[in-house]
Amino acid sequence: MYSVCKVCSGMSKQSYLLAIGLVLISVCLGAEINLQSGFYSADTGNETTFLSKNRLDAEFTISPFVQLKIGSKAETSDFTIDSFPQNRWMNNYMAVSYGGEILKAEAGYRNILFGASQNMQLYPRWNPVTDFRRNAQHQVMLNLDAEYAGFVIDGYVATKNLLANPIEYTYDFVTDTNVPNMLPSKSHDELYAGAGIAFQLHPSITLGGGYGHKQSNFTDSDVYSSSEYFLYSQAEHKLSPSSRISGSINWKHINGEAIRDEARNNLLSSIRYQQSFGFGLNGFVSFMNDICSDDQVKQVWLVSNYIRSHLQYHFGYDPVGASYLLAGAVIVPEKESETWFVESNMHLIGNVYGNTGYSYRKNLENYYQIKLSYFFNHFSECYLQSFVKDLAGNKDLQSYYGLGVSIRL
Amino acid sequence: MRCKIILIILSLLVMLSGFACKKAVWVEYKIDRNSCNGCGECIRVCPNDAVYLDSDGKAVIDQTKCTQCAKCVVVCPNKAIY
Ligand code: SF4
Ligand code: SF4
Repeated sequence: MYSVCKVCSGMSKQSYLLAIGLVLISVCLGAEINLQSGFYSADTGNETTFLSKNRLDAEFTISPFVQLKIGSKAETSDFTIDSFPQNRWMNNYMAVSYGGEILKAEAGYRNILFGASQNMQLYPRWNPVTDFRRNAQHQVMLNLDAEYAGFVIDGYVATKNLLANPIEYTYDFVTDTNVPNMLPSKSHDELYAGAGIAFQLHPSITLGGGYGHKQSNFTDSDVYSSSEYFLYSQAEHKLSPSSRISGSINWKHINGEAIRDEARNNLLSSIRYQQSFGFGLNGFVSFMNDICSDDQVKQVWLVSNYIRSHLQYHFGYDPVGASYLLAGAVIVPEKESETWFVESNMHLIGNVYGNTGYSYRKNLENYYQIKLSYFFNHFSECYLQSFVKDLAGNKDLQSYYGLGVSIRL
Repeated sequence: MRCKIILIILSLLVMLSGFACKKAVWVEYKIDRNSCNGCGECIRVCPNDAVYLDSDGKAVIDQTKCTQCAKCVVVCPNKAIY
């Protein structure tokens, strides 16, 4: 059995204060706000528990060139994901961006608070006597873009800090056991920095390249540091008023102790074809190919092919155009991965819409969803929702039944 | 016209490379940026802190830390990890 109080107590007070603070800032600034909140009863086979999903997105235009973006997402549940449970989780984001004619800049801060502290699997290889449990991730980012005479120059710096609690085990010969000792929190830092340049050869052809570096102090060695050079070209062409084709080729050379020799040169190519058939029917098919080789190009390896296709039909009877039927597939033959999905959103009566969906992922899961929404206006709704996951290799279904509200202020 | 020719050559190259190479004996996971909406579910389940959101709010897998456990593949609501 569950209770709302039990759920509320799961999230730390600081997280709630942060979320309330973000809402207040957004309201005070008169920002355009999107609020979503859903509460679900979750039956995970062994137990019935509770899942709460909340989300805030706000955008505020300070001046014609300056914008403030705020985002917050919180989830609380007693339900645990597989063997690495993160049943309480919060993701907050705040950024200020400047968009001038020549210069564009964005400075942002993001944090992820992991409510359930779990062991990270990364370390045993390097440090077999210590477990690290992650608590929070903080990220600060700065991006600059300058556009001049057909050239775009961009640069970025980002720091990522992961706070983890180390637990060191010492062997006690008397009791023949490993005794855990909690050590003070340890900060694992990563610094990402890079710069690139792109040139528009033709209104629909872009060529570019750049350099990126990551410095990591994770294990008091350079094992997770890396650097990369890249070159790319992108092209897009309108074949007819109703069809468009685009493609890109990205070559990347990565250096780093943890990168396998065979994967140092990476070539990712993609092609996407979009077609509108008329009468509300449109779709696309995209194909990506990922190959790599070592420095001497002794052997070229196929990492994966990725094929994705969507076909969508919009029903003409709905005056706001929100009724549709969507079907699609994602296939990655090298990983024996296959996903098929279908979704429909239908205007039923008055302001009521019904949404149903099904997806099949080979050897992973079957997913079913049904949702009934009542719209107060174009962007605000309250809904009843149910989704069921039938995970491969798990005899119990995971079923969720809930209600929620989504409001734009 | 120039663009059309480039795209045709690109398509042929992609198709050729897709079938001409030897299949890798290891696995590497990547993210389709066009399909990622930055929801962060993959970061939440990754046991190796190997995923982060870049400046465009799109998830990126750090190949130096990824151990190919595929937990992120299962939870991605947009089937964007391959
Ligand atoms: S495959 Fe596993 S280790 Fe790699 S990014 Fe996904 S969850 Fe993390
Ligand atoms: S789970 Fe999928 S959609 Fe969400 S951030 Fe990760 S890759 Fe993107």
